[in-house]
Amino acid sequence: MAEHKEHVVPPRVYASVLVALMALLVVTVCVAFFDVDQFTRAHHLGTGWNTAIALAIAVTKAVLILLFFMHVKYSSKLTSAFAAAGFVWLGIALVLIMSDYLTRNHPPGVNPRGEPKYVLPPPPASDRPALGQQPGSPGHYH
Amino acid sequence: MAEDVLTPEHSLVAHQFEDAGQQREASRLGMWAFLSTEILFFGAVFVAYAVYRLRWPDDYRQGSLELKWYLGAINTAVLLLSSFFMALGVHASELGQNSRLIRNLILTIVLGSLFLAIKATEYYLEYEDGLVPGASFRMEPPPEEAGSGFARAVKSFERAISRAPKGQGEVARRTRAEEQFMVFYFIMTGIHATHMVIGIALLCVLVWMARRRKFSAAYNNPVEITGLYWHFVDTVWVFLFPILYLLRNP
Amino acid sequence: MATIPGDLPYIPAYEAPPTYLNVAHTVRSWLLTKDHKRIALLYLFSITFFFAIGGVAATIMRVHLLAPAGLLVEEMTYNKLFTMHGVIMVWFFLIPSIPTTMGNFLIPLMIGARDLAFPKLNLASWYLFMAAGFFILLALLLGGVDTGWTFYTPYSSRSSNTYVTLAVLAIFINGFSSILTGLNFIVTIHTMRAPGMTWFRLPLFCWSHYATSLVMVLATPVLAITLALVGIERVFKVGIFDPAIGGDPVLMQHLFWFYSHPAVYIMILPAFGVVSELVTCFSRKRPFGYEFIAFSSLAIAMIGFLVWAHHMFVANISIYAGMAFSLLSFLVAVPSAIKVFNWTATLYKGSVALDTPMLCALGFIGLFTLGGLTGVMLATLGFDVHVHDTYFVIAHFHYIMVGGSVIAYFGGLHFWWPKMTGRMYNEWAGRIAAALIFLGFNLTFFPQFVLGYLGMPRRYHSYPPEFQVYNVLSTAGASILAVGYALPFFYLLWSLRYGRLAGPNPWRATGLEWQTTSPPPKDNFEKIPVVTEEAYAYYKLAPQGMAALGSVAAAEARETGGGES
Repeated sequence: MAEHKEHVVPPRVYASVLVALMALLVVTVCVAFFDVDQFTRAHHLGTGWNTAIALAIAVTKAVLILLFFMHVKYSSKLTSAFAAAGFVWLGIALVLIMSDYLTRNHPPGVNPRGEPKYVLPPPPASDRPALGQQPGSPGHYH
Repeated sequence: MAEDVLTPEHSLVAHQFEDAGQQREASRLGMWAFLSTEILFFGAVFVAYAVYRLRWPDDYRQGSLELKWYLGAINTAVLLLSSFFMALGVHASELGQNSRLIRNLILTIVLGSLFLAIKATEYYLEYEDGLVPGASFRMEPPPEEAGSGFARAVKSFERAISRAPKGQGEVARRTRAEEQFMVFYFIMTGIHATHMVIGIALLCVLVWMARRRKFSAAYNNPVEITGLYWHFVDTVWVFLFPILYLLRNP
Repeated sequence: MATIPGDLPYIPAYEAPPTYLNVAHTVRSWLLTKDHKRIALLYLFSITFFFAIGGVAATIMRVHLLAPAGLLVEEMTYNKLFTMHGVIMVWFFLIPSIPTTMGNFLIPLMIGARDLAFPKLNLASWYLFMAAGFFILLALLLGGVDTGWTFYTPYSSRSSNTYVTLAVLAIFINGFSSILTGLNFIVTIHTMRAPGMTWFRLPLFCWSHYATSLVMVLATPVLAITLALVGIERVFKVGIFDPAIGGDPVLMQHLFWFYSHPAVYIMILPAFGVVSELVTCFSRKRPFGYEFIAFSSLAIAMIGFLVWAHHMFVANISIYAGMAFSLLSFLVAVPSAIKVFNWTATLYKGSVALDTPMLCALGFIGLFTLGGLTGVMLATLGFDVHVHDTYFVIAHFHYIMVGGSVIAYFGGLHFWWPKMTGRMYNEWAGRIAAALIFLGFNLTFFPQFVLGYLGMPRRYHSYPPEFQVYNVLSTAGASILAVGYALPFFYLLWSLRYGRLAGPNPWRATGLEWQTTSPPPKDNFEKIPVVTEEAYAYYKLAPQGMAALGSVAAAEARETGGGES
């Protein structure tokens, strides 16, 4: 365990990262008020771009914080591995759970686009069923 | 500045460690391992949220529309700024500059508290709006003129900044799934706020320790790992803000 | 370093050497200790207590099932019994069992460190465990829980009027105890190894605990938050998993098993580590394929995260996901089989001595193989649909957890007991107990494979008369098993006072933990050792006559000649 000189990051770097983060914040808020899908649909680029852009910006911001504020860029491989492990395992959870939800109840040809559609009965106007009572008719999907 | 720099004799190596380098490495790795736990702690709720958001896209979108996006945006900026000052604090501790360390820690605490204050205001407004799940959730948005003076002032502010104000077709009758969205909103922001409170408490301890000159260029592990924790909590918010507030388009 | 038996300095008999046990005697010195060895003993007492409670619940159930209509308890009580048996055995015995006792005690000794990296966290983890234990006992005393250890919604959210919230709180707290233990092990193994202790000189026990710790750190938070969500749903009556208000109970199962399947590996991986140590020591051989055993632990920890939905094949999950999970579940068998083959190969042409720990290890290999192979059967989609939620599943996981983990736990306890206490237990009592446990276990659980295959569902308090013969066999086996478990309690306690002094290395084993005194001094080693060779240098002992080194009887003969302690 030889002690080596710790890398000291100059404040200039932190300031630049802060400016970048704030800029990304402004961008993500602006994009949220602009329906990107209207544009992409017209050009046959699919839908869901607003969500994709918002998430991409969030990931970028998180990576900036991790690399510079949290010093991952200057740390040992071991630190990077542990920093990555949490995200990788979260990815495992997300991908495998979605592998169930996105392919459920679709006999081939019935719903080729793989979009599950769930329908809940309209809620009773008054109050919800209390715990312990018979549950109302459950949501069904088709 | 020179008299501010502490000498390495202040360093404390616990008995189980051979030297300060080993201790530093251990505390750093320990914090990172803890943060990977935290990622999955928050992550499980994110996954559940994703599943439900895909199942009830319209209801969840309506939920996003009912949140105060501008308060969320301000809070994001506040938190990013606090992270910046935290990073400067760690930088000061690496150089052994004690008073600069204390200054930056206090700035971080102030900004963190400001975040919590704004968050509390938001919770209050959501309560006035009948958005708190459970017994006080209202299926109809309350009329414009209802609520306290403060809530009405916020509503007129919203009308001023928004092209299509609420109550004019955009937010209609609420649904059970929207209530579920609010459940997730309160759980996620609630757990996050709890982490913020813990972080602020840790920072207060650091200030107390720094005033007693516990840290030096050779021994700043507590500052460093508290910094890691603070930045991590910030990172969680960086994801919470867009997925809760900004997914407004169909 | 200089503590190989022959080199011990002469110590007069009346002057007890300083050990971690006699360094202080007050209750306070135990409750506020930061010494990993004392914390291990605190855990040992605690989990023995919980093991007894879980065992009593199991005994009542087994007696109840002697007659088709049930003998002892009402339906509701039966539900509460199997829930308590499951909750206590899983979270309050199996998950902490080997890591918190032997892991806590041995990892610093094995890697040549004075303590774990974070001694205060280690103590905090015990207090969290005890707090969790308090809440679960409170739930038990107030009237129990009837949801089953899995807390499936909507049983746990809508249907149950029992103390679910309290039990969920207990497991939430328990989770953090487990996380802190895992985190401590990871950091310790990474940063605290003695000079010269490279990764490939680490004992396999440390490798398997490292893999276990990764699972603890990465899986447990998901359980904690999932059960917190169940608690929130119950207390605030909001729709998270409730289908009537937009929730999805299957999502709860996904999140629950994301933890609880890897949790099976939290229970079995430390057992692998123990068995690797036992097999090498009592074969007087270095392990066959050290690297394969080491990396298969990591592979199991990793692949173990990808298989959880095989618990949910009949929960209306997507058939495509079901196929993927089935295939991934088969893959786990590969690293597990590598371990079994390597242990067997280690035995081959070894100088095998059948002392108590080795009897446990051999029992483990056989029972784990059976449990593992039935696991592959259950991972097969088509077969699982038929035996899902039957006694076949019960028998399968008891072969892994009781036939595997618990027997390895007993083996390890007997192996390191002299190191922990400085005393030898009665060897013949130990052998009898090991034999009783093996026989009793098989008689208890093998009939349950048949029962399940014939269609008897789990968690039922009564059954058709044609199943009675198997149930009677099973209960008969359970009574033998109970005797087998009770015996060590007596002769181990007896050994504390009357047992022969063990000396530093009663088994003539290699490994750093045997090079310090028994019981070890407070700081483990007088001087941090410098490691120059692997942990299994048994070939060095060969010239002295491998056969003579094997058994305790031979060791005893040597000792009387050597005049030790």
